[in-house]
Amino acid sequence: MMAARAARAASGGSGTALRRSAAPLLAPGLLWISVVYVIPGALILVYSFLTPKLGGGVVWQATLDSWEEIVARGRRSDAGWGTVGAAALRGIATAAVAAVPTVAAARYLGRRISRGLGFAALLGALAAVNHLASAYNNYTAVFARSVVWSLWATVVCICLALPLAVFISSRSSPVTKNALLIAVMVSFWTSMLVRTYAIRFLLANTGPLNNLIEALGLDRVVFLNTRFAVILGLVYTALPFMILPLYAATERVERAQMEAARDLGARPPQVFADVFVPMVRPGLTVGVVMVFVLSVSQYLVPTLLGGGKTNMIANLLELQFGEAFNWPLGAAVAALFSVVTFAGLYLTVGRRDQEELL
Amino acid sequence: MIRRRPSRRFANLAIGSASVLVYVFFYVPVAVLVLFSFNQARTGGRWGGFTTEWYSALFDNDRLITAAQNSLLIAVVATAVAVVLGTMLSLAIDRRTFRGRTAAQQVVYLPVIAPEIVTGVALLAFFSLTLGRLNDLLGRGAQDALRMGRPTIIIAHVAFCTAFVALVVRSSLRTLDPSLEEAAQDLGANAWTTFWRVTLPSIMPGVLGGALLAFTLSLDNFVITFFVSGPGATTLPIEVFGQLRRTISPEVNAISTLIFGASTLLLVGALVVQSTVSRQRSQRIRPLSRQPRNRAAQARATQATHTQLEGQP
Repeated sequence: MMAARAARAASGGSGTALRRSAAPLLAPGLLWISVVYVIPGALILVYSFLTPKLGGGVVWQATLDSWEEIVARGRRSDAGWGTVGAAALRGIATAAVAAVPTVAAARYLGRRISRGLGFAALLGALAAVNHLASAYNNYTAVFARSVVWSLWATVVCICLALPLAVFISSRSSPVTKNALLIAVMVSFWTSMLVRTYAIRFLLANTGPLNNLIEALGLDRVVFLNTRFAVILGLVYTALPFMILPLYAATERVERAQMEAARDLGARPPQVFADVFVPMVRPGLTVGVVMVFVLSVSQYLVPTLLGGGKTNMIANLLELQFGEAFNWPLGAAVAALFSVVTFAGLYLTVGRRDQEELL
Repeated sequence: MIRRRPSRRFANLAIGSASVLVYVFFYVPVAVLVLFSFNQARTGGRWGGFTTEWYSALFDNDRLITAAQNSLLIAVVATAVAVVLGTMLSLAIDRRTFRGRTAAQQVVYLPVIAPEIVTGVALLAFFSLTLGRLNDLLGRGAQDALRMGRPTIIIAHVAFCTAFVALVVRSSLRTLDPSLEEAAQDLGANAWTTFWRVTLPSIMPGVLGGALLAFTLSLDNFVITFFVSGPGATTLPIEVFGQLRRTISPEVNAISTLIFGASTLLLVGALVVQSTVSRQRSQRIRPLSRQPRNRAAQARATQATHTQLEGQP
């Protein structure tokens, strides 16, 4: 990119046309997207400081009520210093339990033990924060639940997509490759509503799966409206978003480098961790970001498979803008959610990966 | 030459069987859905014999037909506008240099990363505010003259469709050597001719691919549409959601099967069109790599553009 631009600048006279004003090309589209995304986004921030109007809408009277409700007032009665202690204990316990597999994995992959311990500590911190957020108030609990379920979905998606990406890219015939890819893309192009409904139908209490279970002489299982159903739905709807970028990255992996590493005596797990993973990292980052952002803001999956009223952030938003008619409170939740999402994106995706993502 | 170690054969077997499982996971729920849309038994997941009565019932359902017509109309209009705006945007970002380019780029890709649910509620607030003010301006006689409906859905759909078109077109602009366009202009073609004769034919697969993506996204969109559709205008996903939220019935299976079939057809159509267009293109212009920027490459580019300009009627 840089080289091309420099060359264009150096070529002098022939570049005049390219230095023409961008405004006429840029203005209509940019304006349209700003009207639909930037201005309403700013409006949401303004609404979060206003007074709710009965039956929806706002009264133009400034107040901090909504933010106080989310941050301070909505606190659960039992949330106190005891919760902090419990969260700390939970974090330490999680880190201790997680340390066994992470240290073993670090050893196996030929990494330093400290990295395994560091990862276990990170998981422990996450568990502690999750415990705190779940116990603090209903809003933070919904946020924590959405994030944790989406993280689970992301991990499962990686585990399913990685072997598939390797499998497709290691086919030698281009026809087979294309057929396998199209089979993934069909799922990608199918309406989210239909995909979610397919899972709902399959798992229903009197659905085909339960009939099969009964025919085998076992008891019916309640699948719907459980955490399992929601995470399964998140994985089912988001998996193509992990497979496609990961496949694109796997396709670019230099097989010769992996062979060389193997010839130089690296064990297979080391080849995987030190040669393969760094090469597919950009695709992996794109996939993780896509799956996580899609999952954490899912509305259809928690509504159709979770059943409850405030399963995830999207349900909370719909409740405030719909039945509860507290638009400022909903606006505050939406503003907080956007800030958290964009901050998370900014922190996890570097500039390089951003280029890759776009 | 390379000795296959048993551990590797085991790894390949594991990868292969995991992949098969992923495909089973993808297709079993949809296959079951399709199968049971032909199920005679009204309730439950038990097979009661083959029938197509649920499909014929669909075509008598006026609400569903109206919703489907709305969806198609909205998708066609949104795609048409988005293809023009998105192509213009990608040309501006990739072929022009201007101040604030990075910022413009980030705004353009906002629809790709912004959570849909936030966009939905933000648009609900925005439209009810602006439409309320406009109704006030129109005076008391026209109470609620302007309401949310097809126009607001189209405005919202154009925005995200534009972003996705820009994304797809830009990736095909990146593979087009700018020296082709420069050469055309050196030979006296103005910017307009250069675009129609050189740039557009070369990025056509991207433009068509973007258009089909935009069409599908508009047709399938649920969350944003849910918040900006008024009582007057529902789209197919909104109507179907209303039904399947309440009940699990063979009719819902039938309509879901039809939607699944339609999107599969769209995908196949997209792939066929893209491969045809890119084959035609590769016959017309010799592909040039963007890397070699020397005299010889420039000369070849000039020649290629020359032949192309003269070769067209």
